[in-house]
Amino acid sequence: MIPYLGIMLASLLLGIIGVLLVNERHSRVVGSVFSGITMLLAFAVLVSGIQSGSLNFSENYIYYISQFNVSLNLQLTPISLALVLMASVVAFVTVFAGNPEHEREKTASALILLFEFAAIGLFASGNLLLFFIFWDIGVLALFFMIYLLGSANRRRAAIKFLIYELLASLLLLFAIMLVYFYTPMHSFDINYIIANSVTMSSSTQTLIFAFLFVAFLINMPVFPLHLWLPDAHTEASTQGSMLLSGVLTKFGGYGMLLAFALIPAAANFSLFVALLGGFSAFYAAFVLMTQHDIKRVIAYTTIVEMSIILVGIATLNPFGTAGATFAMLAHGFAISMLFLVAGSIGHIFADRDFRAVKGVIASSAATGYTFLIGVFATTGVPLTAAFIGDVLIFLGAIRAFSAMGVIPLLSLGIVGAYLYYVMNKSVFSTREVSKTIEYIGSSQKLGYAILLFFIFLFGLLPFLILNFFNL
Amino acid sequence: MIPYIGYIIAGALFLFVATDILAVWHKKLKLQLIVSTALLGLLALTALYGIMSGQSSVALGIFNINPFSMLFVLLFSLSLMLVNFLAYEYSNDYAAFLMLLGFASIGMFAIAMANSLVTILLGIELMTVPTAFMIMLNGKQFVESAIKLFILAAIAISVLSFAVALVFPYDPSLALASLATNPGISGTYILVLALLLFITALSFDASLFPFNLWIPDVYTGAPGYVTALLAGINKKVAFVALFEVLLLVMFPLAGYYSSALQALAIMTMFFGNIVALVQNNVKRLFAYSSIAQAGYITLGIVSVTQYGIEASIFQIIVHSFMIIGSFAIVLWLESKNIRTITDYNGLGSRNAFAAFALTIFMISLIGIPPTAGFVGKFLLFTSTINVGLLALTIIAVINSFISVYYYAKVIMSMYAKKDRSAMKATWSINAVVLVCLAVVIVFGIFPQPLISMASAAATAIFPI
Amino acid sequence: MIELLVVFPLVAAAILSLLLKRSPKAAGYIALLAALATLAIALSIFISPGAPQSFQWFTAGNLLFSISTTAAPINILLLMLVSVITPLIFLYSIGFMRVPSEQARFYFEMCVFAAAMVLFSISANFITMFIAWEMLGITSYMLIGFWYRKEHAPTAARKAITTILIGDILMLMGILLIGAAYGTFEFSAVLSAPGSPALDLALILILLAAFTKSAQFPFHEWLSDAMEGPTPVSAFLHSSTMVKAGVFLIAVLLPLYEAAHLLPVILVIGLVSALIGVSNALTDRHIKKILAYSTIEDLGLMFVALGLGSLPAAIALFFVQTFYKALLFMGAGAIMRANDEKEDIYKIYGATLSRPLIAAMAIGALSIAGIFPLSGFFGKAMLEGAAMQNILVYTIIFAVELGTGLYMFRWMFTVSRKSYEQTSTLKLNYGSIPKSMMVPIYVLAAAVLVASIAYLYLPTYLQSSSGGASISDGLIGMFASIIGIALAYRIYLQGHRVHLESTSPGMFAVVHNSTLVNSVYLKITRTFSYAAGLAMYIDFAFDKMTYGFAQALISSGNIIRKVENGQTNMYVLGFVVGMVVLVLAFIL
Repeated sequence: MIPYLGIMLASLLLGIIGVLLVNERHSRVVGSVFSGITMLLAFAVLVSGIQSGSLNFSENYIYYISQFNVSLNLQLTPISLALVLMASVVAFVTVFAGNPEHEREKTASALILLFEFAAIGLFASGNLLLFFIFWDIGVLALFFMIYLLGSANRRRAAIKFLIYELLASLLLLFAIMLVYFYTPMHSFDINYIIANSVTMSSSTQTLIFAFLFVAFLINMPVFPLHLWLPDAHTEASTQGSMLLSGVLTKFGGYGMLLAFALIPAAANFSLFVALLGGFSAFYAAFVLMTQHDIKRVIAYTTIVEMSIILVGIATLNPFGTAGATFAMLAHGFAISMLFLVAGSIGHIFADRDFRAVKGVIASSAATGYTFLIGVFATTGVPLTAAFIGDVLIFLGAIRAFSAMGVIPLLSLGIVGAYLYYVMNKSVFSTREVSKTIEYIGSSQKLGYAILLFFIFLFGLLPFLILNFFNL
Repeated sequence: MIPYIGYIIAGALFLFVATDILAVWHKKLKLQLIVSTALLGLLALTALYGIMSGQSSVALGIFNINPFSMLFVLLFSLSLMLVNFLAYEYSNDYAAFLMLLGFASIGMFAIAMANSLVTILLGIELMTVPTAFMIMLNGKQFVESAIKLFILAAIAISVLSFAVALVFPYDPSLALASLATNPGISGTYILVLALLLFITALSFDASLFPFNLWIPDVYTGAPGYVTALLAGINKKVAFVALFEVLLLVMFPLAGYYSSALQALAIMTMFFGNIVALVQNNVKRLFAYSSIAQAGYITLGIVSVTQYGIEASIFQIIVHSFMIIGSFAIVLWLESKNIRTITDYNGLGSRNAFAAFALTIFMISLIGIPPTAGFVGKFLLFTSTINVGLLALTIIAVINSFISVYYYAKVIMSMYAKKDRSAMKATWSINAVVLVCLAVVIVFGIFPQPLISMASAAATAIFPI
Repeated sequence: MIELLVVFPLVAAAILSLLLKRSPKAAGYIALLAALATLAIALSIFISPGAPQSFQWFTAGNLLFSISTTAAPINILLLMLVSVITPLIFLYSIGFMRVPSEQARFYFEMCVFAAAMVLFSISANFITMFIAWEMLGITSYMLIGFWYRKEHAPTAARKAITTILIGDILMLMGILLIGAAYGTFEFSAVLSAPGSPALDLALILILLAAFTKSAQFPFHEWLSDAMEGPTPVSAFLHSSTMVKAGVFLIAVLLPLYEAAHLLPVILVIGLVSALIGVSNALTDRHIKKILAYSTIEDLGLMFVALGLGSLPAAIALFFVQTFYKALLFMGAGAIMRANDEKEDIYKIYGATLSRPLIAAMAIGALSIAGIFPLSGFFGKAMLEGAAMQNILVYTIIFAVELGTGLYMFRWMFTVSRKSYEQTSTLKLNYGSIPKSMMVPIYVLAAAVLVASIAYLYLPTYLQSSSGGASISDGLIGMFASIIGIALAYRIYLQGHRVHLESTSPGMFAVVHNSTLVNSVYLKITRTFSYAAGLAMYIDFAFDKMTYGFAQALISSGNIIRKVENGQTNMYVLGFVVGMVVLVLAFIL
């Protein structure tokens, strides 16, 4: 059996070294090549999984801390497979298409590969300590992406991001240490904990879950701990934003799925969690309506979508879980595409306020139409991947919480209405044509095409992923 | 074979001090640097051998040879080597410094290998007093710091002697490990008093609040290489002494010192971290940071388990390298008159290596993987959770969180804007930083060898 | 076979998307070819329907998501209507679309729409239906905003998609409720399933969605704005096909609504919408908007028929409306072409200058007014027959009929006026309307006539138990229409025009109530904006709170640092106090 996961991680590390060795001009190409290899490997994993009908990827490497029986232990569940696929695609597109200005490409490429390394490691880790370590590496990589490559006010946004994220990471650290000491055999192994966490007393479980919950809530992000996200997006570069909403928020989503799996007593709080998710979806949708910066608008859609995903996670049934996973996959593609579009708009017009940007469609039809399809993919139009995710989430929610479970879906109506308003003002409008400053290159268009391909691939053929789930 | 280790160490140490003293006359500084480095290297190798052999014995009647003492001999000799390089470059009177360092090193190694309370008392004295003079050597502006240290050290040492005196009636041999074997004495007020005085006196050097008020002033006011010595070695020596006293002598009173140290650790962490938030001078910021780190290290002792001690030892070792590396950069920049956080603007483009190294040290000080600082903190936090001290652990976690802000401020300042005027660091700074960086990263990714050593040391020192 | 229906327009769309910039001339013909191919297949299905088909899409547990099609009579009826209209519209567009650069985009969007509409007409389960439903909404959005350089087109498109989006989400909620409750999405299975509260709720949600799509009160205002789109789009999407999707869906699910006692709701909304349609059509001046309000009225009447539980009447209206409405829109397009694309009927002249055109238009107008023996009459007759029992409903229908005659001929008479200044130019203009625009108009006029005969077979074809309407049922309605036409003749042709707008503004506001409805829409939007403002304020407050916390921490740092005053005696004091406190804490 080929150790795909290990090769993926190794390829990324090699990629980082490669990027650092070559000069500024070639760094993007080198980064794209190694990221592309990783993406192909991720799809090789999917193909071999489909062929064998099950996921048997478990790889063990060198010991990290033998005292805790922690080794580099990688495994794939259906959930992590979906997220690894998504992360590898998004990172690949990010590294070659996300920087139309070609600014500091070497730094950017190296950090993107580092982040991709962390993301894939996190989604594939079979061990909580590794999960935490990859989490922190990812957070640091993105912190530097925001800070080194961001716009004028990045300082405040970056420190806000770092503080929120490290609060999450420290809470997570505390929680996994508790898990370790309260499991009978003292272990960080995820499978072992899932099998044995019932033996913990319910108060301990509640305590652990509370810490995990808050940590992942920050990361997802869901009201009231979402404040870092819009600011981070406003200041981050296009590449930073793509990874931030596309992949980083999935750390929290994946973690939340994991938290419910690890802690049986968490089931007691599922209703509360779902209510919070539902409220947060509407809340973020309303705040969205007050935003004018295209990137902030898109950032708030992330909060809405992640809140809906939280509802799906809280259903605790196979539908909700599969739906949340699928929605995360879909959201990763869609949101990174939207940020790529926002980046292109910023590049073309040197402005991102949708009231000031006029006639995107006239300046760059590809950008305009991709934006439009991105809006479809966000509001869950059928044949885009988001539709499958939403349908499964709310089927699960109806089963878990009766007909009331379907209410959060309405928040997408608010989001859609406002996004169409944005489209109306910026994309389909030539009343006062704003000045085209730059043109976008073919790499951006190729980036759109790749992400569109995956949005429709998984929208049309959802069984590629869903067959691995035990629905 | 074991006895020879004692002879080799004693011999190397003697030669180290002797050549250092000779250097005051012959003034061949470069030669002296090579000789002292070689002798320290010999010490380190011997100590490494001692750890590997894993046996315990007493050499020359006064030196404990066991994994614990050998590990610290190794650590101190390596750190001294690094400080020695820094001093060679930046000291105005390197020969005199080296002579004082020689005396201080006797104190340090004596404490690492002590088997009697008297050795500890003398060792602390021998270490602290020359340090005060080292500060003074570099010029008039340093005298104030030296005097402060001298006055406060005098008080601490007198408290320490008093504590030793209080133990004397109960155990005239004053040997380490003899009281511990006598369980009948627990709860004796005089001994409790002695215990508290030991903690007080050693907290002075170990920089636990409120016995550490001198630290920010002296660290900031001392030449950078002495600050590195104070933060990277002197403080660690105090912790070693603390281990020896608490675990070997006062073990029956574990209940007392555990709660006392818990209070001190909490106060120290909060004091260090919160005041560090408002610092603008990077050197001073690192002084507060190192206070906070002392608080974390104390967590391992609070749990009074072998595992906790192992965690503390690991963190002590890692912190030595982090802080010496950081102060090396601070020292170098200070010589270019770059002191405040805003002065650090653009360092990332002026000297990428230094900025990168400082960033890694700070990430490690926050405790973010994959650095050794994370492993240390992880071990410490697990040690307190292990004994059910959840509240204490949460406080420590909160403190880690607070610390993010001030470290991030420095990191962000370094990468804030581009400054094209490149700055080259001297070879000794680069070498020291590189070694420290390697330790922080390598033991961050492969911590197991160091954990094993710390574990062996903890087994050696921990009673029962 | 049945899958080819969707394939042809989609293949055409794919080809067109590749051609986007290269050969604009060919675009229309490619689309036309695809439409004719679809028509051929539709005919073959009409002749031999074949069994329902199902393609598995994916499964989620026991829930099967499939693309299911059926060839039930009612589906084939819609399919035939769509596939007959499509080539006519495309042919019309070839003459209509004059901007070369936009050709391919136009036909691309139209082809995608045609595919969606065909798929909708043969869908046999909620999933297939919903996919088509969403595609209809999206293509409608794209086509309304087709002239995005026009001032109001993008806004009109947004208004439409916003309304439709609300419907889409309500629809999805309803579908999910049904799927979760019954474990199936098939119409046939749901129709035979026992009722449940979840089903009732789902039915209400789906009904609301149908109202948004079919432009019924209170979701009707988007349709008149949708006239910003090109005329073929108005003729195709916003009169004859897409807007009837809601009616069609409710017709398919009618037994469920009957069982859930929701028919009165449908009836009332239908009546209200019909009245609103008539009153606005009477007062509007925009040549296409009058027809749009007329469409709202038509759809309202279809819902009335459904509300009365009379599926045949609804289908009959459904069937006949397609032809006369498409005809009228196309005619309106031709008249606008001759009048320099003017939109105000009072600025449009001389429709009589083209005799064939005015004749065709007259057939359409008389049909909509329900004059025997045109097809419109039979539809109305069935409706009135169904309403016979309910005197109130009957009265309202009577009033609506009267209004229909009045507004339709107001429209006809006004655009037919002679313009003395520019007769020669107008004559030239009317003469130069392209053949490709005129031919579909004649074909449709013929279809309106033929539909009267085809209508006789409709009840048999639908295998409906209730037979066709008796002609006598429709006579009273026809009488009302004739009164309306007479009134129109008197007022608009003999110059007794009432300027309600200036003489009685209050009355005008009530009759021309679109302004009122739009202001209510605006109020709702405002309310949402206030809620949004509140939410943003909360966001802001939370942000300030976290900053305040951080600030407090930093200030405490500033306080504590006062200990560090540089004085040695302070440090000694700290040391001693610490020692004393430590000792006292343990010794005492």
